[in-house]
Amino acid sequence: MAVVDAQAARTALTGVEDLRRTTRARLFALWCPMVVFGAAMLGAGVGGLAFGPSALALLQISASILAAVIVMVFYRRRGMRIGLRRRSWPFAAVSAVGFALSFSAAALVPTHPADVGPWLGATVACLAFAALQRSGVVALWAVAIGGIAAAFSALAPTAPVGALTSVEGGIALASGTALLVLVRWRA
Amino acid sequence: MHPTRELDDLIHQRVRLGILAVLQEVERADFATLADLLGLTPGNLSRNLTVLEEHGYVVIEKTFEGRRPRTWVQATGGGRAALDQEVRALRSLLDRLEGRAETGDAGRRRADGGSTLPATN
Repeated sequence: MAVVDAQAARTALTGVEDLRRTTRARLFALWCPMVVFGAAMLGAGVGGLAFGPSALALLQISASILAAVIVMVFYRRRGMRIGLRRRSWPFAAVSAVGFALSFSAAALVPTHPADVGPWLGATVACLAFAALQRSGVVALWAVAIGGIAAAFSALAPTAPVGALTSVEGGIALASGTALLVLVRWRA
Repeated sequence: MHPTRELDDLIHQRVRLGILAVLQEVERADFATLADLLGLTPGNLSRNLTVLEEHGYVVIEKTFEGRRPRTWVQATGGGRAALDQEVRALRSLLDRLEGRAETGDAGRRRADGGSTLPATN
């Protein structure tokens, strides 16, 4: 294939970009982190509402770490099944930075209600994931997480600690489940 | 240097460019998945992979999952760099060709406009 004109060069570039996009689409399974993190955060939020702010912090930390491990194992097994394995270290690195950011925000940034801080950290981490996967849908999810946290802070600053985490978790769980149903239905 | 000189003859064809494009997105890809994504027969894919492997652009690893053989293909650093370079060269070539086309169009437009201007003595 010798490139002799603009049309041939454009076709070659479009072909490369299409294949890269198709490969990324095959790797994509956003429903899994949404369902797993959603369920984990819903559980942590409800626990926080029942047992107070210290319980929420403990539950959020342990649930996030457990959810991250589950999601990584899922992607690894799925990669073996579909025949496309991606590097997991960039995702592990972004997760670690995201956790550090969320926990620092919780400890250092005074917000009302108190669980807004970690969700702002989670928004930044999700934006980093979106950039890593070059995914508009993940970016949209990040914006939604941040938007809900900001709206909660503006409209319900006196809400009990754990309410925002429950809402964020519930929405992620419901959206992830809907996405999974949609994926299965289209398949 | 003219952008065509930066094109890599080895990967400057649809199948090999496609193989590296898929491998750029992943750590490794299964042979069957690669054939499916590229719409190639196993024989055709195998021939092209052998060429890329001989030139150090990919690494092929044959494994067993239980009793089932499985072949994984991975792009090397050289292979990834070659694809990046090829894409850069194609973009540069396209810019040059389109720039030239625009200049040509503008030239034609100027010529057309000139023909409508009132003649001067």
